[in-house]
Amino acid sequence: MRKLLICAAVGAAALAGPLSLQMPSAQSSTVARVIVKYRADSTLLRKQALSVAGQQTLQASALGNRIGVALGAGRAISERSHVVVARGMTSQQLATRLAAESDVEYAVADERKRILEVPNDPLYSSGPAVNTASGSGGPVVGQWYLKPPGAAGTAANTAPAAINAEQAWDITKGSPSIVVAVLDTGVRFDHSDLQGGNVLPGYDMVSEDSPGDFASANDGNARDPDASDPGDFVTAGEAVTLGCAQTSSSWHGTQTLSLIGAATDNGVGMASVGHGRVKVMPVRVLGKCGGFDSDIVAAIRWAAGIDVPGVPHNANPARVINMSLGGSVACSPQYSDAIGEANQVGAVVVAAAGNSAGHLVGSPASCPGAIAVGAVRHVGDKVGFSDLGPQIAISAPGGNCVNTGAGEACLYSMIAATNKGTTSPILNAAGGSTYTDAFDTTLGTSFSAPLVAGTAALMLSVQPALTPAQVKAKLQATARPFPTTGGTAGIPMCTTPNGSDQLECYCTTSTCGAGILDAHAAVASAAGVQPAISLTTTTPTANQAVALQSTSILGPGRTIAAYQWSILNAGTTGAAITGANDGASVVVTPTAAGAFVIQLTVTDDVGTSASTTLSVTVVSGVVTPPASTPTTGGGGGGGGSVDVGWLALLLGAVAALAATAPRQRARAVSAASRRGRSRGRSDRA
Amino acid sequence: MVKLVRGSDDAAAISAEATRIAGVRVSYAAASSAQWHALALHCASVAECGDAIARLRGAADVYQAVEIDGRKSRSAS
Repeated sequence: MRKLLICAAVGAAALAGPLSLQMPSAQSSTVARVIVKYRADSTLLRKQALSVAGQQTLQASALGNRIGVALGAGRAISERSHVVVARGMTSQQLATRLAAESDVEYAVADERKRILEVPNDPLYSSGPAVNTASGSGGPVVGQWYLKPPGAAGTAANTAPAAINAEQAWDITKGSPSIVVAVLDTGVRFDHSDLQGGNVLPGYDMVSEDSPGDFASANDGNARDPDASDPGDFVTAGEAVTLGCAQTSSSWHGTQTLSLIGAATDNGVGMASVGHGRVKVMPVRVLGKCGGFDSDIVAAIRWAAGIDVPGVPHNANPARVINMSLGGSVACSPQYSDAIGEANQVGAVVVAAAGNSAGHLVGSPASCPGAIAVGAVRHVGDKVGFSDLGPQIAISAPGGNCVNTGAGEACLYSMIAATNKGTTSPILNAAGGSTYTDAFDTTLGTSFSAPLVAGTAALMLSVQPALTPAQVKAKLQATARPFPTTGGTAGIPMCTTPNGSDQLECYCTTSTCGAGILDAHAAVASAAGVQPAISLTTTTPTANQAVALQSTSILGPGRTIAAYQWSILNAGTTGAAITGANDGASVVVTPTAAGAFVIQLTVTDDVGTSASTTLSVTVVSGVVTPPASTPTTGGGGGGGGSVDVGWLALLLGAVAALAATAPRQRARAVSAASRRGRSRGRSDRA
Repeated sequence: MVKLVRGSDDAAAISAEATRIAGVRVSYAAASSAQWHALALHCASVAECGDAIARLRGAADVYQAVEIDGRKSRSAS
């Protein structure tokens, strides 16, 4: 395994001397580390007859005195900057306090960076050498679509649409308890890159064309337990009898499955989103000339663990179902029934949008409950072949060529496992296993969908309790925005399909989904904290302490590293945090009635942060009817008006009484009602 | 494909009832669930099949839905 150490810009500076932290001795387990740089004119930089370490110890001490925190000096970074440490607070909190000092140019948390594991599969880095004469090799950029996109606006940002699986693997490489069903042409089980033990047997759901006619199935039988792909080639004769175009075998199912489940970091071939740990289950539904709806909807159910008459029970229910297939635009009821049932038992259904060059999204991607996936080019705009429309949930790379001249290598095609056979498969033992490249290209929304399906599997690996709707919401919420520059000069913005082809265009959220898939952000979102606040004070009252508690939920194996509470909007309440604002609970003291909004930001031990807010209504401290009631109306008539402040008092009283004893509720409401009526009468002029 | 009002996995009974209602020979193709089943209609002409499908669709007490069992294809470009 090759390991790429991504270093902190400052923290990794190659500085001489051992790290010697002079740690303050306060009793607290939280240690803050901050890099502080002094202003050039800072009085703290006055030269002393001391070593650099000695001077910086004094500087830290002086700076600490100013903010009332015992600071220790850490490693020197330059003449004006060094690390300081303190106990009892987070690095971010210390940085914030130090940054406010006039002598400080900047103060930033000295964050710990982690090792990113780059898989050692040779095709991950680069395809084989391009040989234009023989039409083989490439793409030079390897599996570009799995890599980090590079910082926006930098030279490293060559493929902004890359999904950043690399950093997602830093959180999880997937769980073998998560199964992704791949409904496709079956698979070549003997492919050299599918030998990691994560490929389940699956099932062959392709039924006969008519009694005794197995032409489409091409395996001499109807439904059976053998999900291997016998080839979907169509001869000239079959093109007539079956009604589709003559073609060679596609090994389409092997390609899509390999993007999700190829053995990874095994020094062989390609890497996959599921890193070879997530289980993949081929369910064969496509034969020659495609597959029948009846077989596909049967497979959706079976894959999700729902029994289908005549088919053995699936002992490995899939949490994710990938369908890189499609057809007619409308979602027919058999699909909506099956997808709805699959969702109901917890299966995420992912489907390719279709490749008719900017027309309406096909079925089953157009069905409610499916996550429809469109395709973007390496720079993030819509690739010409991809369909589009409001049904698309998210977009992901689908391969694009840039070079389109005869004999030129496709620069940004995908790499996928395939077979060398043009009709029947060639066994691996006979050298049949191979990969697509820059000439034998893998292009289409067929290959965008597995990237999303694989990401969903990683998300479920860290948080199995997520529902299909939650997975979709997190995929969308964490997607990167579509770019509006970088495409071929002069291309338009994408628009709603209107019956005409719509080739390369700049995506919008109403045509290509919420954005570009970001596997790292999606998995981090699933793994990280789901912040939540609960109000532990029954009736928040002015001038009384209001207690709030974090009830945040964490992914398995995660711990909370930091809490940060803040008043976002005090409103009329004058609410302020009393005491510490970095614990699991917090106390707020409002001084007047009204409402305040408090925010909680929680950071887990892998650095994922999330925030939530809660609006808290505060009632006045004393429930006493006003001695006299000013009139608000200028004349008689009507039913009078009810003073809002008085009504708030009444409701507060109701809430307090209701909270003390349920049996009192009826009486309290009754009393409030009486007061309200009384108040109404007194308002009359 | 037909969606039965009352689910069943009795292929013979399903095809026999469909034959009676459609007025042409109907053979059983495959199950997609207890409610959804694929059937093959054996017609002499496209028009005859159209009429048979219309009769199936008219039998609302037996079938909740009647859909053509179309084909889907892989989404590779």
